[in-house]
Amino acid sequence: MKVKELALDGIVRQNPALKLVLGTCSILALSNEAINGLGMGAAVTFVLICSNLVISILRNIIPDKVRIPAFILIIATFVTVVKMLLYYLGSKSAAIMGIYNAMGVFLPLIVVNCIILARAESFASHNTIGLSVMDGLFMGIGYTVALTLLGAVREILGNGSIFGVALWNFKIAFFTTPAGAFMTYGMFIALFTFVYDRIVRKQKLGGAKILKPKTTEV
Amino acid sequence: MKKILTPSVKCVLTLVIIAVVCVAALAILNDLLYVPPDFSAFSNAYEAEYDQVEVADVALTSGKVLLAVEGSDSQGKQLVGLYIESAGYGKAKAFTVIIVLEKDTGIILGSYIKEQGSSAAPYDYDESKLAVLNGTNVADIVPKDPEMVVTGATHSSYAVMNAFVTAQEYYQAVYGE
Amino acid sequence: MLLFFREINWASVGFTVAIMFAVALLFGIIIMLISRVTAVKGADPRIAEIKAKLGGANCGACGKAGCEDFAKALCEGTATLEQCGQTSKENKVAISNILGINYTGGGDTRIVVACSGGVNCKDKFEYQGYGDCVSQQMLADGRKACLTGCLGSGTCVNVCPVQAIDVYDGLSHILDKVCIGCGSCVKACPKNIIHRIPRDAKIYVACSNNCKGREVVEMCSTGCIGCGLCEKKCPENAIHMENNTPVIDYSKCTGCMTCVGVCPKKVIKPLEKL
Repeated sequence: MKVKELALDGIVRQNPALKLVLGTCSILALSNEAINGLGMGAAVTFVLICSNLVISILRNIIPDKVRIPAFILIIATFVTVVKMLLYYLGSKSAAIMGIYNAMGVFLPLIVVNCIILARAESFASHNTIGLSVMDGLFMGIGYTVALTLLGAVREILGNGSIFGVALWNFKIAFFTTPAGAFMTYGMFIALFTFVYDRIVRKQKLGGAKILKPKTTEV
Repeated sequence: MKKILTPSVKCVLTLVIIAVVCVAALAILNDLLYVPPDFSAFSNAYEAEYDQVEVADVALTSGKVLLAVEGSDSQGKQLVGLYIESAGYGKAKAFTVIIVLEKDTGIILGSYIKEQGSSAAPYDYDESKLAVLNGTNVADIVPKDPEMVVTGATHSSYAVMNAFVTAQEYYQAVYGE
Repeated sequence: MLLFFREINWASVGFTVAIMFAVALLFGIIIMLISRVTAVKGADPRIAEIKAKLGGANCGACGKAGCEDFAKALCEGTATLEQCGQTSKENKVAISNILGINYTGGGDTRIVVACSGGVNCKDKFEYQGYGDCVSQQMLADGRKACLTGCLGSGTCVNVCPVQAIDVYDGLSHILDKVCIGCGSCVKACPKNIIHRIPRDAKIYVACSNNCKGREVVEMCSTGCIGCGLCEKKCPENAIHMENNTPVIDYSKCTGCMTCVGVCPKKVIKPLEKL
């Protein structure tokens, strides 16, 4: 089913954070705590779904020459909506206000987040509405999962807590710094690629057994 | 009709229409999701409901009034709240002080220092000293009273006093007889 | 819903929309003016069409910098469709139609290693040094006793863009399910023993040596001895011995497996259907 294909693509095969490595500035900045990762992921998913939807609806109307300004206009509108929504909900709940403050300048930066523009350009502008919405949803989920996991790791190691709940007193300050962010993110990508390639190869070989390599000693 | 709709015109038209529709939706949504500004800062000085009022243009010698609010407390007393950035004094830079006065009389009902200015000496902020001021009429504030507010940091003390002098001048100009 | 309308400051909304209208109009006009000024006599529209039909792996085996570059070269006439091992025959025919040329090339292909030596083939000498097949070939044609024997040191493995080659028992094996047919290994092998054969081939010859009889047996226990039984027994006359090695005419081969059965060295091997 097409939906399953899209789901696999968005979450595993073309995970925007770990495979396509897009939108890294927001990943590095917002992965310091798990809750921030979750919040940012939710915001990006929302914008992805909405912008994919609208761009897919308008795909035959927008002339090729003005693709970029048109896409940016639509994406910017939805990012502004998210900003207003978050601030409004933040005035009612302190937790959301915390996320809003943590996102800071990266909330407006979602407008030029590579993931959203890339999906708009390469998918939503050539595909039907239903598929585009699904694609936006699954890409967003993939991004959120990656970001939350990364945030959880950095929070546990760097702050001894998870989702704000203190676990122990052992903190490695390195993981809260940008350098730590880079390193952790890099390790994540390496681990993901390693596991993924192995699984794909196993799948492609259909369970055929590879004999233990006995390369001639040179 | 087809003659006017050349590719160029179509491009410009598409952009304009998308822009207009998006912005209209945004503007309407903005008004719907309006969040009134937060005056909890004033409530920290004196508990009440506040609404913003325009800051009158008054010549002030010792500071600036950044924000002015008026309100009424649970007993119906009319209040004036002032968010003041005082001029510094000597080594102490500007202090941000919040002062709440009774509208009719000018009596200080509550005040606190929101942001301390940078200062050379270590700062010994004594909250009880500010509380002592409650009940005094702002008109009776003597500028440069070193015993007010802080101990051992004369410049900081004078800087805080500047805020009160500002309140005094503003109140007299706007609400006085 | 109408209740909401009272809360909306229509004047401010109107003002915002008017400003945005002006801004969009201004920038739209700027874009159009500049696009008029900088218009390039359009790129060949065929390039995009051709690119859509190519395999799309961007493997570079054709020698170009990716599929877009290859499409451009095809349009300019500096490349031929034969160079791409990745595009299906159907698409190649379609591309030739776009280009307005006749497609004379073969059908879809697969890759095989024409050797079954490896550990079965003796070494002339012990090699100590840089381990790549290409470097070994430069030293007295490599360490294997058979001049066309696989050296098993992974030159093909290194060039393969999808890691579809495994070396074990001293011999390279192509993993058919992973292989994309780009042909980089065919070009890279210094012994030239990796070959392209039709995709529907049922058998292949797993040996490339040019020696006969006892010579072969002394070098390699699985090498073709050039006995010619396969040629004699083939009911379709699809096998011919050339230089003491069988060569299969795939247009005639029906996959009856007679040759597989009669070969004393089991050099002709059956292929799994892809």
